[in-house]
Amino acid sequence: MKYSIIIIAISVTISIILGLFLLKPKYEELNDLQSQLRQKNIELENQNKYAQLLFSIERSLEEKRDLVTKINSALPADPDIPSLLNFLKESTADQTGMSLLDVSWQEISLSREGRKERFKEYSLRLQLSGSYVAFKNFLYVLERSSRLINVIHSEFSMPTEENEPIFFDVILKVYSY
Amino acid sequence: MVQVIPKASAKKESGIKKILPWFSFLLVFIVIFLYLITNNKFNNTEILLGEVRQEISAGQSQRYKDVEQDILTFKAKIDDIAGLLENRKKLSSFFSFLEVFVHPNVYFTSLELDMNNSQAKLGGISNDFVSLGQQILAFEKDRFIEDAELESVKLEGGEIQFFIQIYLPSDKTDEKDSR
Repeated sequence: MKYSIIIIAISVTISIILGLFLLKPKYEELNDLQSQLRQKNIELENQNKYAQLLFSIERSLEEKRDLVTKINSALPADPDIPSLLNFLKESTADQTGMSLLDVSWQEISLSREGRKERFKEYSLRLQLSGSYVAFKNFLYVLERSSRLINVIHSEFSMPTEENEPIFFDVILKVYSY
Repeated sequence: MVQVIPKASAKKESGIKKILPWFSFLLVFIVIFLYLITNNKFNNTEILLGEVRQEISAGQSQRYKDVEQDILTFKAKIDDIAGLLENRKKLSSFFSFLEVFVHPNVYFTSLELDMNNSQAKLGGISNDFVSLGQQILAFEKDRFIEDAELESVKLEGGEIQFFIQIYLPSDKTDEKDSR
């Protein structure tokens, strides 16, 4: 009888010690690990969904290549002033009958402190000559060009003689990254 | 047979008392068994977690990152263009407006248009003050123009030379254009 009590007491003590110092911490670690696994599974699931979305957007952008090209040319990666000047020359002389007399440009975003825009702004000053109708057509061409061009200033006055051309002073704003 | 001196009868231990030490042993084994199960589960979960982590990092391939970068850049570009288009003012619509609103007895000879400040300075000639007044009134009545002020007047050779300062509402140019 006496031995039985000793055996029971020792067994229960061992059980309690094992339970508290071995089983319980392991069980808590397991719980922690399982919650990490659940979190990672959710992360994986979201990542897969996001990847699917990205690739579907990529496919639809490839299908709308024309639109992408238009957007890229509206705000090009490079200022590409020579091709802009070529466009201005063509749209003045060839398309509208205006004459481009002088052009100068400068980057205005550089001079602006604390600017928030990701893109750069350039100002182009044009001196043109031609008729009023030709000038209006020139403005239409600029406003409909694939490259984003904003006419921010325009100045002209009627010539003193009837057959003389009108001189126009125009300031444009173009943008690039 | 009747005993004169009775023997002490052996005490019978109850069944529960006999089983209890065995139960206590069993309790120790149960605890050890539970520990082993938990440990095994822990190891399996650890392996599974490693696999999921690997799958996550494998999913973020270079192509994935490139596509993501391309799309985010394109989105930023669209946002930039949208902002620029929102603030864009069409100069041609201002000329179309002027052509409609020129008084028959008033001739415009010069124009200085500043779209940044939504202002225009019109120089012209009129034969009489009544026509000039009607011209200014016509400008003021239209929604396209916020305000029109006669800035200066000069009489020369029977003609009235004038300058009118026009203030454009910053968002009206496009509104009118879409009408």
